[in-house]
Amino acid sequence: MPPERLLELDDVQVHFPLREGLVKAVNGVSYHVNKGEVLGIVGESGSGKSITARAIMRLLPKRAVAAGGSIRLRPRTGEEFELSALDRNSRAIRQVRGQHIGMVFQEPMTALSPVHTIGTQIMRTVQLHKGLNRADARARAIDLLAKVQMPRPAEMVDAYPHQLSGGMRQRAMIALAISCDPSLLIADEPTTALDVTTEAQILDLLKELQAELGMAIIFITHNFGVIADIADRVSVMYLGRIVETATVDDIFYAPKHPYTKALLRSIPRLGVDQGRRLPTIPGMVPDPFSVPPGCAFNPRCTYAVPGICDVTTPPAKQFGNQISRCHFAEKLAEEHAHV
Amino acid sequence: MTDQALPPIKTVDHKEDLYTAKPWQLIWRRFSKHTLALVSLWFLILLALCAVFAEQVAPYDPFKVSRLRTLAPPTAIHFFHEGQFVGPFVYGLSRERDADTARVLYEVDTETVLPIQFFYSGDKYSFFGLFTSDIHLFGVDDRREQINLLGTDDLGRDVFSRLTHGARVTLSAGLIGVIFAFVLGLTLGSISGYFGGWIDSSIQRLMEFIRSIPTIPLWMGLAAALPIAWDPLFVYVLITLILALIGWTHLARVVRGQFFAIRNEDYVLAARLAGASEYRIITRHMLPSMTSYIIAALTLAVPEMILGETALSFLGLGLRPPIVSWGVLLQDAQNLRSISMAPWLLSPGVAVVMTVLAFNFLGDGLRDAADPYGQ
Amino acid sequence: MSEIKISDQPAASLTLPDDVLFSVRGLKKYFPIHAGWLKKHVGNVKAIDDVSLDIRKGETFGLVGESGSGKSTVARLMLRAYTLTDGEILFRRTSGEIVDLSRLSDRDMRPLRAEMQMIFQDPYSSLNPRMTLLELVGEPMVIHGNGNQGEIRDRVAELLKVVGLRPEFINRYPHAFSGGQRQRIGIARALALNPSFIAADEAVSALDVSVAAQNINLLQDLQEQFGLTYLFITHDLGMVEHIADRIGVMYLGRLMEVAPTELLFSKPLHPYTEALMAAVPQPDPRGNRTRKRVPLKGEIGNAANPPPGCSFHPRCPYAQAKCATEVPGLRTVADGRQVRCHFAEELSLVGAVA
Repeated sequence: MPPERLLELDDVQVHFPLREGLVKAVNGVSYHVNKGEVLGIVGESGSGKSITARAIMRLLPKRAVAAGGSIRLRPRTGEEFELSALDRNSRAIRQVRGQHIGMVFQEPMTALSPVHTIGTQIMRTVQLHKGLNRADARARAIDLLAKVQMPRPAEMVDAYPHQLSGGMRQRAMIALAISCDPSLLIADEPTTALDVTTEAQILDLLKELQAELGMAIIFITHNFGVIADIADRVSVMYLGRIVETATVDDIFYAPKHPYTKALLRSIPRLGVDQGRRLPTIPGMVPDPFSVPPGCAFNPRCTYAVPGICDVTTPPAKQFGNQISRCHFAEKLAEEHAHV
Repeated sequence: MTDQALPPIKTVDHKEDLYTAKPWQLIWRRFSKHTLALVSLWFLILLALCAVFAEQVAPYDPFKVSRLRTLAPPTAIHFFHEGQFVGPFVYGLSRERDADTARVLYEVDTETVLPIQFFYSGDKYSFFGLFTSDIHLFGVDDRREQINLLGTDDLGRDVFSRLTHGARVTLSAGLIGVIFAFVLGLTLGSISGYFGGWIDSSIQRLMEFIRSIPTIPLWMGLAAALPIAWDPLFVYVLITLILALIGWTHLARVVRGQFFAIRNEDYVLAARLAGASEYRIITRHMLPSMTSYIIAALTLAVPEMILGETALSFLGLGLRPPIVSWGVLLQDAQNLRSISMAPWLLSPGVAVVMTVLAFNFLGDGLRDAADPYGQ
Repeated sequence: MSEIKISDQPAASLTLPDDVLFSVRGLKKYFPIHAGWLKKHVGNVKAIDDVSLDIRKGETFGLVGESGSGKSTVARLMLRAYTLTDGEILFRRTSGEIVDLSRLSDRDMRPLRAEMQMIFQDPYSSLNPRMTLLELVGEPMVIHGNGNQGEIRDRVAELLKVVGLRPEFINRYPHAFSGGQRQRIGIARALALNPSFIAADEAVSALDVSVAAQNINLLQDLQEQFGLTYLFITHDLGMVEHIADRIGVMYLGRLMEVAPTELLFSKPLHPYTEALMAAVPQPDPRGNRTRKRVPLKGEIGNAANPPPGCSFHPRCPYAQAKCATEVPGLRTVADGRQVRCHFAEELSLVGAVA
């Protein structure tokens, strides 16, 4: 791995053998995260964005089969982990989860224990991984709560999750996730359940923490506004594959995959008069049992050419730092050049 | 419309079947994947048939005493006699008395071959007063010998025959008890769920009170209040009522919970906003969604009733002879002597265990299948 | 239920300006709080407090706000899904007659329900899983006795076509459909009785981006085709700017501001509107970097114990002493806009759109 690399996924496959057929929820995903950057993963429901994150943490559902690919992590400490080779309950992966990768979910209530105070939960983690004694751990918990801008941290340390509002709970969850100074934070739709004003607060908090602690973030969301706000680079997923990866500006101003382009056009934007009708993507996301052959997007794509797109899976085409999996990526690149 | 949400869909026929399948078809589809529940269902159907046609299934009158065949062990069924296939038959039984202990001993008499006869005319019986007949499903054609699949009791009565007749009483007591409990539970549960407020609170408190009473002393108290002189049939009805009075609370809880859950579904609000009357909302939207859950809860309530009947009768507080129920039959197995000398007297206990388990498996399967739309 | 207190003044002849379809005046909905063993009434949650708004014929009125602002409750009160605590709800029937829905019993409400319908947020919970599309979409017609079986069948097939579903699906159950398609079934059901008014409660919020866009277009087409009036409830400012003609902004059960869409987005008059717009991250990374954004402090207050004075004052960057003591009323200011802020004229606020 290059020295600036923190995490590298190469051709990761996660399959769900179900009665109705095999679902390739993650079908050959490759991406990397550099130290200290924010990688946004964006996609509609069923695109496999969360499952990929769970594959990194080795927290896949029991029915899932990690069918291939490699996931390598090199945290600050310098040692290298081959995460894809670790068992979901091994000592090594538990060490990675607690110390090197923190995780924040959409609904913090599912991740926080309802019967312990948030202070206890943070203290347990730091006692385990940092070997602090009780008093120090408590001081550290209060410290962390202050860091996530929890009001009255010295009081809130003794609060139970159900006593907190949604935004506060998410702050507590973040405090827990960063309690051991992880090199990577995986945030899976952390603001989706929150109101916009709270969402803005959490996004700002994450940006501040990222700058302060120098950690990298994988930020998973379906909201293009949020991704534009927080990400440095963006990967767009569709039906278990990454269709495009680029810097946030290239994704938004020069997309080279028809899916990215069409999706961006279908979002109503403030102050941009798109006429009375929103441009839409025809059809629906196909069900996971019958993923179209060739390029999975071809039945809905306006650029699709029969005989090519519905036959061969498009290769990853590189344009500087931009990677697009489309047979006609060059055509889209030209269109941008003309605009 | 320019943006049809639908691309041309190539619908495979079996998928279309799934899409248009009625709710009960989906429930059956899901239920039939639950092997244990399916086996239990067949077992219970068989059991129910035995109970209904007890007179025909039982080879003998359950009350017929044969003094020369007391505590006889179960008869084994054979197919080969001296290496030759002769079809199903039993050997005769010879009775001797041990000279020292004066104990009755039975020995298989391999000389007497008694072929099992199907649809054989034996003891006369009246089938629910509808008609009289003497046709039994099986039997052996011999005045002195008998076929006792589960042995005989200390009065020489055929345990298998008594068991099938007992099944009728015990199962019907369970079912009738559940029906009483269902009426009580449905009424009070829906009142509770529908009106809410203080009515709900008082019904809840009443239910908690009933549930907090230890059942055995309550049964004993209620059963002790029944005069001995009453007609056994009347006692039987009262016993089921007593069981229902205790058992309804669980059902009421299920009904109330379902009422609350479904009332808050958006589709109920949608129906109201479409102008539907309360009656229509309850009958078209709420009850159909609840039935499968209620059926599952009812199934799970039957074993409770059966166990209740058995326990009461076993303690001598419930049904009394001459009525035969599994609990009454178990009374015969109350002493150590009969268990050591005639373990087949415990067969009603085995029947109770198997039936209760079957109802529980069936109920579990139904409960899992009750909502075919989740997952 | 003790909290219902409908004013029992004699029904004066009701009037509405000619272009108004729905008019809500002084709407209140309090939920009583009971505490203790004896369930003593100890206070009220003021879910809706003094909301007044007019919805004009053929327009789309957007209602925005965060969770707990009461925006859904307003719609449900207007459709009389709940009983209100106080206020008037005037509705112009297709016949031209004006009725005050707040005075009608549930039974008297029933015939009027044909004229006002609702589309729900959750495409799963809003369709009875045990009914086919024929039964679901046809139910309103059955209830109102519109036509015999064959006529209803034909009408349902036609409605399915109108919302972009195949009429052959008429015998399918909802579980055969995706979220976006289910939402269309809900729309078909809402259209069944030719209503003049539809309240869409977060109708596309649960859908994926590409599907939401399809359904928004459908709603707009239907509005044109059938001359519908919409009350469009959402928390998505981008969506509401796209679809609404006028917008009301709600906070803690009160309307803070009502304005035509363009004016609201270019020059908000209420500090909360400004803060809300600033908080929405835009799909425009360069714009986000240059835009100054002061995140709002704190969180939405508690409706059971709202702050005194202006309910927004604890979070308002412009709050002054007066705001903590005096409740501002919803005032009409220039351009026919309405705002609930003491200092609306003095402040110069920044909108999301230049």
